[in-house]
Amino acid sequence: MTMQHRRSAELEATLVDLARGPYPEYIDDVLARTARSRQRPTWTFPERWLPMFGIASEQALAPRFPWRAIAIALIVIALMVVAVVALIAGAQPRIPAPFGVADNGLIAFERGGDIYTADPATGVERAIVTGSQTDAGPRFSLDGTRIVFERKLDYVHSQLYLARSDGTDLTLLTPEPLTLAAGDLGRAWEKYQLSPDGRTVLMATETSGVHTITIAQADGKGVRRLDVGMSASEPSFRPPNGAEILFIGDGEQGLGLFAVNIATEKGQADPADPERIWRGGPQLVAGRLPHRLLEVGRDGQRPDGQDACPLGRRDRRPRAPIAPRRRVECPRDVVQRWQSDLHCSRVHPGLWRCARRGGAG
Amino acid sequence: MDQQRLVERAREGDHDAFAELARATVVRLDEAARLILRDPELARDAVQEALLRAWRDLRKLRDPARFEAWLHRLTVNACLDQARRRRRWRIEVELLETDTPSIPDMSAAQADREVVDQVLRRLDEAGRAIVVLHYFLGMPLTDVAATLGIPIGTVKSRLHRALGEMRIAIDPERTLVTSPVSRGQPA
Repeated sequence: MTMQHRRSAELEATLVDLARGPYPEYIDDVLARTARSRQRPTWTFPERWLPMFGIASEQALAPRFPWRAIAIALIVIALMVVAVVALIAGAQPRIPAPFGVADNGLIAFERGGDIYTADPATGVERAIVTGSQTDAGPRFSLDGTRIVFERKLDYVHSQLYLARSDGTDLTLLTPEPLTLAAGDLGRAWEKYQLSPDGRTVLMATETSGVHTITIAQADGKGVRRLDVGMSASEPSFRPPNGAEILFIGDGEQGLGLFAVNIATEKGQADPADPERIWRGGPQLVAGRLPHRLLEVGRDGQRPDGQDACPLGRRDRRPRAPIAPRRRVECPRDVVQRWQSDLHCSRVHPGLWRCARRGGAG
Repeated sequence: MDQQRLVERAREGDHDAFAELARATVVRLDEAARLILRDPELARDAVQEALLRAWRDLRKLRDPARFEAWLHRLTVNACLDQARRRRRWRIEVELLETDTPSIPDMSAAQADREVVDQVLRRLDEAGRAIVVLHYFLGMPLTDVAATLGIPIGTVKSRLHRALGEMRIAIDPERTLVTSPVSRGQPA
């Protein structure tokens, strides 16, 4: 026996000594399991069909492909993509499509403290919100899927509710009762309205005798009052998306038509482009005024330098400012007196435009 | 009945024949697995897995004469799978040497056993598998390479490294192994 063989034999003997252990009793369990399992059919082995050789593969030492890390990375990336998409989609104002079926929808109205809808084609009525409460002033959203209405708690206080057009899914928008402030003519639709994107409800409110603007989330999760720094009445969402609100403000600059951004709450007339502001105004302001309007300088002076409008019964209600002039409302007799030295022409039943004779109007 | 006939019958679905084969080989497989994994519980799992695979895939074996080599291969692969899973979960603990003096009256055989045991523990599972396949199961190095799916040169170098560690660890006066290929079989 060579030295090498002797040493190999010693190692073998040592390994046998090291490996010695109890009889593996678990063989019975193993055989019980194999007896219950079936052998794979021969045809399932690729070697049966394909010429195969001994393919060397590093089973023990080759690094495993990081499937788990890759899967986690893919999941994280997918979640990030979903989050970004949701963020972008959420930031887009949902505006009703400017087209659709050209037919008349339902008409909503109040009767006996309940809310009804009626089909103008068939005349069929349907009570959608009933009960002992006094509900009034239903107003459809622009897409016609929801109705906002007022539930009167007493002569002063109300709460606003939102419901689907069939009266289901009733949502309380204003948990705290508030005082709604109607416009000059008390029309219900001037007290509140849904934004064009349907996400908020605008309310003309009155707080401690001051006209205010209140915004409620359409999902009923929040109410806040806009701070515009002045008394604000007759608010209205400004198309197309309701990011701004037009309102009649009574501040240091006097009465006028103002725009306020809902997000920033920066509210002021836009002197750089007053006409832009004014376009929303004629129907809102001048069209229904019982008094005539005169155009005067922004400093409140008539074009001829005299006082624009002496104090009269209703002369404290000048309306939308137009740079470099703004319009004021004056009693008829004042206008008649001015007409002696001003050239005035009636451009609207409620609007007179005056200019110095021989000057620009 | 000879082993080849038993394998043929087992391949045809005769579970009794397979049971006879398994009982005849399980001790050897269990010992090899314990040497590779150095953990009786893991070794048991590996052998169980190997025998289950053997029964399930027995029809894959074309040459009944290669049954034992095939079973050894399954066992080693199952051991490496177990080691891989264990590596994923185990916590490495470093055992510090104590000042306790070694037992002075240890016999030479016992000393060799301790040294081999220590060196085996220092090797990774793949290194231990090479030593066990070659020295314990008597497998030629070419078959070791085929079983582990690595080149023959790699087998030799790893065996050389493992045996070198044993040689360094053991008393120079009583060198246990000095050659990387000591079994005298063609490499």
